[in-house]
Amino acid sequence: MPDGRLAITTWDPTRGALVVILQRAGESTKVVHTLSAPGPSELGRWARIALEAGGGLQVAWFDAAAGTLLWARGDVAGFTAPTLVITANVGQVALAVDGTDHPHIAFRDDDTRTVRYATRFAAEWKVITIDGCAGEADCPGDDEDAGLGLDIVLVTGADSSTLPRIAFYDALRGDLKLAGRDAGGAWSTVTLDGRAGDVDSGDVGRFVSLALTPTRSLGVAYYDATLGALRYLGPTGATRLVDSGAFEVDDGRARRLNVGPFCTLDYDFQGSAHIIYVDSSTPGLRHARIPGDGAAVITGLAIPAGAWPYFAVVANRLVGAYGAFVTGLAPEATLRLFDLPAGPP
Amino acid sequence: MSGACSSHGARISFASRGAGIRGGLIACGLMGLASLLGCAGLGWGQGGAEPTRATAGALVKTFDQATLTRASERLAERVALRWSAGAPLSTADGALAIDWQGWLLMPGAPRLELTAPRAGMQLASSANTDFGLVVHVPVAAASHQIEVSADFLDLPCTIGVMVADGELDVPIGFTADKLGRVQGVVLPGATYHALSDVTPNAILKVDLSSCVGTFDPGAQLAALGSALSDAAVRAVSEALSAEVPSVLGLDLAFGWSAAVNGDALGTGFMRTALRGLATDLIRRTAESVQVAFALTVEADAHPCMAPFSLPAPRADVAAPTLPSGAALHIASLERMVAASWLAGAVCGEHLGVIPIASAPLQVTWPALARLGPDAEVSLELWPAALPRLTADPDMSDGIVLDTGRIRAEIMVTHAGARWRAASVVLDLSVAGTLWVADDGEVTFDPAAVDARPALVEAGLLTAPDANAIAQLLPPLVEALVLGRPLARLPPPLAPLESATVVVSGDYLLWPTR
Repeated sequence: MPDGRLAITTWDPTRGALVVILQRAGESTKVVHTLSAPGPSELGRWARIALEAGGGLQVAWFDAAAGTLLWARGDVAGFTAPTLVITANVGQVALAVDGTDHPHIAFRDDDTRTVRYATRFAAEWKVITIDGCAGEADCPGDDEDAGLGLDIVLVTGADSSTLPRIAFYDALRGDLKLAGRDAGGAWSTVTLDGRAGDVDSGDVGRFVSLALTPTRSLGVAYYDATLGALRYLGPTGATRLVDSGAFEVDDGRARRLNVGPFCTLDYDFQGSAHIIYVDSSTPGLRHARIPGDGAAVITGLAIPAGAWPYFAVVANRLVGAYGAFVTGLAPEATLRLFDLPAGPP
Repeated sequence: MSGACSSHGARISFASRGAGIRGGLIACGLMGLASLLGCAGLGWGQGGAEPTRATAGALVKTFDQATLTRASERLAERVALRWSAGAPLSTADGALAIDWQGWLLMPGAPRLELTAPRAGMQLASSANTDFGLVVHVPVAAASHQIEVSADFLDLPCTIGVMVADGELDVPIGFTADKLGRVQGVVLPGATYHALSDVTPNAILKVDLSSCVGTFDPGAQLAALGSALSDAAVRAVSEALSAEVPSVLGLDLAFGWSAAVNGDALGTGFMRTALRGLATDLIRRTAESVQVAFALTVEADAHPCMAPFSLPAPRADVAAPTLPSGAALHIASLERMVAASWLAGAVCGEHLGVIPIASAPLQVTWPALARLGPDAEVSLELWPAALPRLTADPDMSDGIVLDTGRIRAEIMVTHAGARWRAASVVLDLSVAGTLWVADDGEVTFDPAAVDARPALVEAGLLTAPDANAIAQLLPPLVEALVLGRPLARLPPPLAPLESATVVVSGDYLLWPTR
């Protein structure tokens, strides 16, 4: 938020409702707005929040009980009643807001196993299905399965138009793909990693995070399930292994941890990429700082183990929130905020 | 964010992801035995590297008369193709200069026979000696006119020759070439006799009336018969030399080298070579013949393994006792298993799926229940020692695989990610029997898993107690072993019907075709 507070949407088990929390890390004072009716957690799945240019907030989530994708808009004072985006069985949600505060939602339709895209203009929602094929000879097949991991960012076209970019996981092929709309309104899909011709680089993209550099170039952090590793594809367009999870034990043998799930990506003002992700072997959270083409600096975050981290780099600090595992009751988790040094810029 | 979940079921899973070249747990063995038996790498019969670290007699192929009878059928099929248009006789220098040009021998279906050891025959013989294997080849030839030139003839003369239907008795020996490939050798002493008269080489009726000179018709008839016999043996030798080792399943020599495990940590390699012995290739017993092979197994360690030394090759192995079939020395299998482990076959994630009755497990390890009904459990293994493979003293035909110290990461899936739920550092012993199917697939059927934990660590979940480990690990390990073939034997080493691998002394025995 412009005032330095974090805006978090999460299921609050105490209230039994989907809430938006406005709070600074390290402070107990917070503002809480309830979005859903009280009930089971099915009422507020896959909740995502995005900030408008003017400081407003937008939230999209899936009400599994009703089978509806919902959207609401608000600010510090409160939120409007939810608006129905579409009736569908939703598996993943990503939300971005453009410069004129229009929402752009990418989501997975679990029934059709496709990635869909919803946008709202003049109070009307328009929903399309993204073509998951990237020119493969056997696509689409009977077993297409796209969007188990997805994210969305908005770039600006030469004519100042807003152009969505949706990264998603093709589970059938184990590929990471990117769909984008051009200024003429035409969509196209390309494979970012996983397959190039006859070369298969592994099962990649199950977890994926998109972000824009200060110069508005696209970056992608994603999980490599074959290696159990974190990968990153930066503005240069080259994919790189950021963290293989390898380490050496006392007798000299090498072992590897499973690292990279739940990765989230952001950039600092100098363009260094920062990725927070899960080491699910230890378990714990890690931070990778990638200064341009330089070597990645990997550190373990000195916070309790957990998952689902979301953050932003603010004044060279990692400010965000995640689900910290409740001691002795994992994977039950509780919301926890963090404000940590991001390392040298 | 996530809340707590309750669960009434869980699955143990070894779900496959990604493309790997890694073998599985036991094969350590898996790749090792597979490599031994030619699942990959160079083709059969292409020979191998110099076996500087070989175990002589690691693999022994034994055949008796019953084996020879079956092999005779295959031999008949093979030579029928070669001899479909007859076997042409060729001319050779000799006392009688006979032009056999255009004369065809018509061989019938040959049969292999193991003759009784003769006086003076070495029961433990070197290569390329007569060990009593004879190929009987029925042959027929049409009447023919031949031109004979000889010192005792005033002029070359053309004679009419009638050949009785007969049989060639061809002694065969074996030798190994420089690459260890077993070669058939036609030995001296072949005979050709008429079916109606077993006198060697008494197969001809000849009209010598047109020949003028000073000669003894009887002696020259014998000389002519001997020349025809030699020519007939030459006509069938190439086919017999080439086909007899093959139909007896002795075409086993190979060299194989491949990466066993290539992953983000690095790559481990394994090399094996199987070669017929240069000396002491053949051992004759009263009822059978054994052909011995040397096995070389080497490995370059994967970074996940400390640079252990493989078990030393056995320099002296006693010959196995079996009437027919194949025998593999247990120490050699152990070395292959160890080489495969050293090359990284066991390191990391292991894949496969089995359901388990999870209700008892939820009692002994209730933390698992919090993962929800769709949770999957899998294993990551990180060995800290090389395995041992021994005959099971408590079970007939059983073998025991002792892993040595090994770290087992119990992995679970939750929210789309794999988590280390807990870790157990332990010693594992897996006892069971080996099976070989008629298609050559070798499987290990585990009968008992003994898990001896030394250390338990919590991960995402609180650490399981000893009861939970005893409940969880054996089915995981059994599933890991049971669900996958250890190897696929090539046809020469595959049985006619599925069979248990028998443990006899230091050898694993199984029947072959």
